[in-house]
Amino acid sequence: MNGEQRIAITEYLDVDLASEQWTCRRCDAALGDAADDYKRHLLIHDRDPREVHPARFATEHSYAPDPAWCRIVEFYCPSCGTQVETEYLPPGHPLTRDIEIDLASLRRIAAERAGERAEEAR
Amino acid sequence: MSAATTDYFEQLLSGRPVLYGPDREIMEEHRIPPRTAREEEALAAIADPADVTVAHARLEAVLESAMEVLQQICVAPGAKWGDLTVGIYSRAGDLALASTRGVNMFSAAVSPVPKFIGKHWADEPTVGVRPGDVFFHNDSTYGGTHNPDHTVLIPLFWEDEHVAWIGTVMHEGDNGALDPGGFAPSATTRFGEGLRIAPMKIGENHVLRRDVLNMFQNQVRDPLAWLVDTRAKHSAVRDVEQRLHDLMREHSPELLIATLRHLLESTEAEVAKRVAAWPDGRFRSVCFGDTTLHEERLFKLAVEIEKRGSRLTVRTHGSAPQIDRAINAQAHYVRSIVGNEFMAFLFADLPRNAGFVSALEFDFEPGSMLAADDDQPTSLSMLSSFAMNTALHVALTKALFANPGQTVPIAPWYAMIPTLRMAGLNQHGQLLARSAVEMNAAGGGARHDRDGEHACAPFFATLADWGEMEEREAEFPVVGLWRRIPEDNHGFGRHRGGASVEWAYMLYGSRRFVFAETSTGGRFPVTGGLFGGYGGPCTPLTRVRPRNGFEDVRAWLAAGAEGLSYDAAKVVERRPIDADYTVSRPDVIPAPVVEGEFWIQRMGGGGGYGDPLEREPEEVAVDLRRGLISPEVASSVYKLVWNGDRCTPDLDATAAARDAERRARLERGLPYDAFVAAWRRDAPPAEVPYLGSWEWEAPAEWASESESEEAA
Repeated sequence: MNGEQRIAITEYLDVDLASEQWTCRRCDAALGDAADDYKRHLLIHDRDPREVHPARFATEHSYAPDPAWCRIVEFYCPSCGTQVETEYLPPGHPLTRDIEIDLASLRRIAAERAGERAEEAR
Repeated sequence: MSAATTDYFEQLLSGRPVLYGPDREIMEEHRIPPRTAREEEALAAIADPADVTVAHARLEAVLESAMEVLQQICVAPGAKWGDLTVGIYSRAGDLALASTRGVNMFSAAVSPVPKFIGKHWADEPTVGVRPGDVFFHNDSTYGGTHNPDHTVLIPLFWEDEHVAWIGTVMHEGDNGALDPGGFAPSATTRFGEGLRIAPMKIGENHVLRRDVLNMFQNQVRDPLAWLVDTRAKHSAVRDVEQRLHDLMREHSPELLIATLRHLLESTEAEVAKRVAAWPDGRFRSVCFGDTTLHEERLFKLAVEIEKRGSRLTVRTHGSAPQIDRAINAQAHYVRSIVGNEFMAFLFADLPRNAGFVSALEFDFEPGSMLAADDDQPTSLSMLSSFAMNTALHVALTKALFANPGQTVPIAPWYAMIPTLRMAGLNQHGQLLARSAVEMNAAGGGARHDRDGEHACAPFFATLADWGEMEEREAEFPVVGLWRRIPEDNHGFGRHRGGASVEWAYMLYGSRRFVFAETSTGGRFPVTGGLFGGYGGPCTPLTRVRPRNGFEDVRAWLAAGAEGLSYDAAKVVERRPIDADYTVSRPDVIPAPVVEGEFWIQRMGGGGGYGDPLEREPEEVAVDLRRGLISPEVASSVYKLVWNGDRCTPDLDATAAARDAERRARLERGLPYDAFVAAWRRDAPPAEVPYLGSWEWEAPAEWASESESEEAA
């Protein structure tokens, strides 16, 4: 948590409770409404998996995923270009809304932590 | 009406079943029941709570010791390296404490077995439960995990009182199925999966009945191993029984009863308490398997975690439907996979017992691949449930990230089973059917603060080992050609996943032998990444089958094996001997092999954590020097620029290359709506045979509780 108003939800994303915005933890850019799917506020790229996982065999099966079966969907911070998340999906498969967080419970956590800090200070 | 017919109808009218099948009431209830009057009495008799703490420590020591001895004296290779457990159950049948090492899933799956015995056999005049009785079970529709896991269970008595149960579960080498080696990839119904034993008595007065053992031995391909292992299991539970008698003699049966109850209740309460500290919300992930063991087919495993207060519900809606293949999993088995995740990765400090799953809620779709009906084949349920575990792990990690004090976020472990299954006459003339154990060498997921561990352990038995090649050579007619950590065999990221091994085994010393493989990962990788990290690669199987007999291979090896490289891709490229070279998906129904034929397989690596561009250049260079990554990956994924053979990183050039890549991402990345417009398909690609949901619009049940309440 940064200060008392930002809570880390992933390695690269905070929720800023004051502004109720998703925020990049690398560049501090406000990305969008925290009630939304954060992926709606990122840049997205359909990556051929062979660019990441070298095939090594010139055969139907290899170490590289079959691009007709599997794609790597990459999500980038639109401000600093940090790769925030990846998903391995069949081509055209629905993107996963992986985090749907209750802001009221985040406020409760923030209040509890503030209380703990105050207790420690005493 | 004949006498037999009259008896039949009288039996029906008496309310006693013709067949004591799986008891739905037992199988569907995963919560620990209320205290019995005897448990209340025992808890009230404890004057000092410290006595329970001391007794708990003593029970841990007893179980660890029993498991250690059992590992030493058993035969089944999987069990020898950790695929087993020893546990103590309450009188009601809830597993109250399992050995720390071994398979955690057993801790969450085996309770229905003593419950069945207690409910149906205890008062049955022809069976009963008495001191010295020994029970056996392996049919997973009655509890447990899958049929190759065999249970030996005894009631623990003190004087005339039945106070607890003691059991051990072990993965056996063969189960008498259509296919050798415990699993049955060929099976399309449960009737092809070999032994299906409902809980039954196999011994009395501490003696195993020889005629009964003989009946079992006659059903499996590895009768010696089955006999030794069953006796070993009985020996282990007897050892625990004697030590618990010591405890009760020194203290009281009340102390044991109270300790078992306390372990169950305190674990359940602690799990609920820790979960309550997480933020409320829904967290989801999906994973895919790519083979049914008969045909290549993509199947989806979806997980949703809904957390409200101290209540945590695991849903698997949207996952593939059940199919007439051995890859289905039953609901109680999937619950045990969830239990393992909590025991092994989230709250590993708590005692392993049924209290974990008792604290959780489950919402599975009956008839799906993850809640299959009792008549479906399930001996290779790992192909669906282990993939589901990867999705579960990711969803849970995202659910608890906001509460970092409880555990360290870890990228997905490699969770699949590419290992050699072997059967036939070995070099000693013995008939055997067993698995090798390289599947225990899974690569660990990268952690929030450091890289994953190489060739670490399976996610379901995180303290298991995988033995030496020489041990395989002593037991099986094989020569281990190599084991090594190959390049690019893990997930890349700021912290990289742990790599796993590539192994090669050649048949030597037998002409009547089969090899098999049973794994996903031929086209779609098993492991994903976390928070910007990448998953692992695919893991195809390479087979080299000599065309001119073994003497040709022997001569080649004796002359120095020119052209042999400890690398499957280079072997296929160089073709050092006159042979058929095949690269295929890593699932092969048991196939006869010829002497000199060798199979090469990689276990998978763990997922990467974080954006690879954040990995320290020197760490990338070390990976490059050690052969963990290829120059291609160092350059294209990590954007490392280096000089010379020692791979000295050029820090300024690397920083510039990484800045350029971040700018390139901003150029090529599309906003959500534009991406979806280009990416979206309303049905799976026609060329990909597919099982599972494909819904772009969120299902109605995804509406949050508050939204549902408002609508109401």
